[in-house]
Amino acid sequence: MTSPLLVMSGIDKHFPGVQALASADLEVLPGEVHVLLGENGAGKSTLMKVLCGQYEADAGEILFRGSPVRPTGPLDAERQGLVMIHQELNLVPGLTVAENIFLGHEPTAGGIIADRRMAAGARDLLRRLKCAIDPGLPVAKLSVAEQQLVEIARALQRRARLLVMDEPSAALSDAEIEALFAVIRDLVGGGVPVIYISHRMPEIFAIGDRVTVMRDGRTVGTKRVASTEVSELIQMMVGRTVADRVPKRGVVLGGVVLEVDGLFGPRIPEPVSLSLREGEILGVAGLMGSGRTDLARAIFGADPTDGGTVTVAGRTLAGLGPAESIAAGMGFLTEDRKQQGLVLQCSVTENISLTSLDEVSRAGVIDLGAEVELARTEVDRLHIRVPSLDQTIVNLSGGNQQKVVLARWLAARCRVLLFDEPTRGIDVGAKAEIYELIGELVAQGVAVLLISSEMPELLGLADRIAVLHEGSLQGILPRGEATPERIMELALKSTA
Amino acid sequence: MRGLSSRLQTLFILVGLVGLFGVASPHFLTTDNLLNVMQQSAINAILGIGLTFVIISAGIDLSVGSILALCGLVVADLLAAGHSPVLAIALGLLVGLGCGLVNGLVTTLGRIPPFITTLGMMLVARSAAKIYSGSKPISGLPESFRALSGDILGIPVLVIVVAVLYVFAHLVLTRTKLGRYTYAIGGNEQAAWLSGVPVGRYKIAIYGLSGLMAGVAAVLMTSRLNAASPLTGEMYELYAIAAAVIGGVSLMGGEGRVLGTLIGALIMGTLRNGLNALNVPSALEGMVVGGVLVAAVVLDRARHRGVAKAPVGGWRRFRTPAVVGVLAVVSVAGAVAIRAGSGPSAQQPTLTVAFVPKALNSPFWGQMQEAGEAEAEALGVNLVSLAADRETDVERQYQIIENLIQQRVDAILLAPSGSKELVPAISKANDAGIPVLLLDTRIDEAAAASVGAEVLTYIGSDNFEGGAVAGRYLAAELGGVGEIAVIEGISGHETADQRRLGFLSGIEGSPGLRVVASQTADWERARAYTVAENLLQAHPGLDAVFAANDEMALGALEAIDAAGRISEVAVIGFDAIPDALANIRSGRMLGSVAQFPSEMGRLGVRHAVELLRSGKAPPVEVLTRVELIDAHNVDDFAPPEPR
Repeated sequence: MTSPLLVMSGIDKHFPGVQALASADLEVLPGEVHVLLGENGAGKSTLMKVLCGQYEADAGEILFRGSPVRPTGPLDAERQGLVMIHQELNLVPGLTVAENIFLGHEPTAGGIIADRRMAAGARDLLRRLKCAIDPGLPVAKLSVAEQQLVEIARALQRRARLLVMDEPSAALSDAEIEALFAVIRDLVGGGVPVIYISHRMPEIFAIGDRVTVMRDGRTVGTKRVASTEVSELIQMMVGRTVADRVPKRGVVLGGVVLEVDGLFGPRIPEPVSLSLREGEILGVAGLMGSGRTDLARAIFGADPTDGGTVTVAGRTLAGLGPAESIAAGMGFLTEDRKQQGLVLQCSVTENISLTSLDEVSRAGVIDLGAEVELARTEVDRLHIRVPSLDQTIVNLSGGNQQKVVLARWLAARCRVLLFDEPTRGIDVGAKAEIYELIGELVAQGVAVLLISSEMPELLGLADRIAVLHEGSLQGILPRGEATPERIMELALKSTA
Repeated sequence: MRGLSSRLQTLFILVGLVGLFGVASPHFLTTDNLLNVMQQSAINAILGIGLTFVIISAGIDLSVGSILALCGLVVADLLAAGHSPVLAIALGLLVGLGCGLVNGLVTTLGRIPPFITTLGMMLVARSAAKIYSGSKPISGLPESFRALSGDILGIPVLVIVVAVLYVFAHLVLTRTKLGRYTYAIGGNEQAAWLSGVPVGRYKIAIYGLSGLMAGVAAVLMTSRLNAASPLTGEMYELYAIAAAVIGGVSLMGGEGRVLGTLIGALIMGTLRNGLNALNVPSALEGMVVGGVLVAAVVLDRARHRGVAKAPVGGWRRFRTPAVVGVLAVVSVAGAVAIRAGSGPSAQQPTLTVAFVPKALNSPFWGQMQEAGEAEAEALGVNLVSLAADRETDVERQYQIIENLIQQRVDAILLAPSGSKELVPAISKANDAGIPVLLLDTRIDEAAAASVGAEVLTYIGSDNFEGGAVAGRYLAAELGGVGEIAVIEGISGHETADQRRLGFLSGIEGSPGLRVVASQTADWERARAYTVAENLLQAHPGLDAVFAANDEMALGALEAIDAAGRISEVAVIGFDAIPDALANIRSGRMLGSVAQFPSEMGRLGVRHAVELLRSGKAPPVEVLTRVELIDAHNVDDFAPPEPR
């Protein structure tokens, strides 16, 4: 057996509130396409970012070509031959293909960029990829697949000895994927192994030599693709013990309070219909890019839709945007609280009352006393730990920040709440408190749509689980039928 | 919490500056002068209110200066036409509000960055103001309207209005939905929208408010200047932004207080007034104000970086105000040092005469100043020269006169930059018993009569005759046939009109001469270059250009040269400045009408001193020579400098 080209062992990486990698291992052999597989948040991308210098590991060791490496940054990693191609391509749209390939490494003659030499070099590199893109074209004019080839050419220009590709097929057509695979096979044949991150089962079997499955920041195991099958991989991805489960309260369900009928739009290609009853929790599962957030935004009126209706407590929305949805009794806790949830420069009170100012003001003038009262009620109820209600949000911990956003929606007395990853990036204690709170809410008759990447969270809390794959609803599993394997099958569309 | 340290920091600068100027000048720390500072900061402060709201919402408004000009003209026009002040004011405010709402609507509905929208409005409103007024100032306002720039119980109405507006704006910003949403939109527009804030509607309201403030400022400024001009308010948007930024309003949005902006405006007003009191050359003003502005932002950034860290303790807590204080002290000390180094400060001459040209940006004013200084030294008096940066900044010249009144100068030699707008300032000088002598430019007699303002004399060229000399000379040179373009000075200026009319009368006797175009270039060389470029395009058969001053003539000359037509198109200018003479000598330029600015400066000082020393009143009009300089007599007029 050949000795491995890359050995990563015992890699730890801790972010505030999250253990992203816990002693993760990976071995890549020369001349192979090595697939990295795992649920959202399993640690695949983090591990690769450690490898390519974007993060520094807390502990662990990397051996590349037999010698230890510890890249201090992406440029340093690049110099050692470790290059990563991100899902969001990193090209400058206004520059030409050749300029992008040589960006930062322009050949010069006496300080002047040698354009012709650069174009010739670019043409050579592209020829190695068997593609005939004109090096003089601006990148903005290329298709995504072509842009990807430019990225690969750039990696070759940097003399990559190992290439990491993060979900390269996400935006490609079937024919383009075939072409990409041909390029990958050539690269591997030419001595550049590829680590390939993907969720798509058929692709794994089409291109992969070996596959490593990760879960919760650990490496579950490595299999030869030829000697494994889908069900085994799924088992490895989800395999959890029953002890992980979140306790579910018994709630008597009321009438239907949210009715989504045939909703579709630019990012939800197939019409989605679902309904939610008072006191019910509908989980939404799906892998990265499956359109869960897009669906929530469409229901909330934050994104334009092309058809279908949303009815909240008997009131059909006219599609006027969030203000209308909120007036009808809906609330939306966004996935990214810093970008879309909080006003960081404002105080705790001001963030909580933002949606409910009408209740505490008369003729546009805010009753500051009533506003503080409103905020204090929620702060006490959610046990938000703040030195003062005037505290600006920036300085709070992730868990407390999340509770402040929650408090805003509780203060607004919503009847339907859309939660997008409510426990992302917060510590275990705060998570438990938020589960507790969701339980309380449904006990009071609030309906909850819960998007989560954490399987135990969905299995524990949800009455039913809707599973999405690439923007289309694959099915809604009742609590009794929802197993991790069943969900993952639908999410991967591997039985379709 | 928010903005507290920042406001303390700016308050610290303000108090420091007031203290410093108080020590440095005996005229600074008087009740009258402090009220003066407040009055002079008022317009900027009012515009600053609107900008504070806009900038906190993470926007920008570049149009307030132009909106101010437009609103002022509407108010003045309605008043001059005999409408009631209430109606005029209401319509003026409405125009401001309307312009602001358009800014808001275009920005939100068109999804256009506010920088672009308001830049567009800045140009559109300025142009509308020029069209509306025919590019001329409007005056002849009723006495009742002047009450707005008077006093109530010794406190200027302007100061009272600012105080009321700021209390109101502070309450709106801290106690109302509009205020709260302004912070939320600026802090995180996306989050605010997802929380149900009707972002678009509130943004429109915010820009509307900014336009309305420009309207309020316009009403007050029109009352103060007793006239309105389409050129007022240039650069004011930037001063208002500066006031807000110095006051701790973050251009990133989401942060700031109106009271900070008020302090910022007062700091800028104090700096200008104080530097005047110290007779610091006005060219240095920009350096000091600019330095303070940049220092304020540097500190703001530093404060931002500090936000995420633990609360600072010990001396570090005082680091920021300390640094600001030191910077302010250094700036002012530098200015004082320059002043001390440049002027004889050992023995104060008994009499002080002030010389206030339109600007000090051309040799014309420079020669006038030099001759005046020489005469002052010969007569044993002190001459103080102060000027605005731009000839169009009428309000600034007004403020300079106010400051000179505070300093109790003995006489003022004034070249008014607005023939109507400066009348109230002259009247104030009259009230303080300070005689005013006009140099170079007359004031509007009707406007002067309406408020009882008096000037002792006019000392200047016969501009009409100068124009006529140029016209007759050109007619002879062209043999009575040809196409001529006229590049005018600022329309509505007495000097500009006289020169143009004089020129037209000079060519009257030659029907073969055709004036194919007559356009203004606002006295400026760069503008004239552009105007000439366009004229050359449009008139391939052009034979000559008459420009109402040499700056514009030289601009036109360069454009003609660039077009390769210097041998075909003759250029005649006015003023005979050294640069023009050099070009006449080398044959590139045909000629220039010489005025004798040094004569004006000398006579101005002499008559002022005679009056002060012996009570002898000067003649009502002293006309200085005009003479056409061409290649034949240029060396007699001014011998070439030896090289």
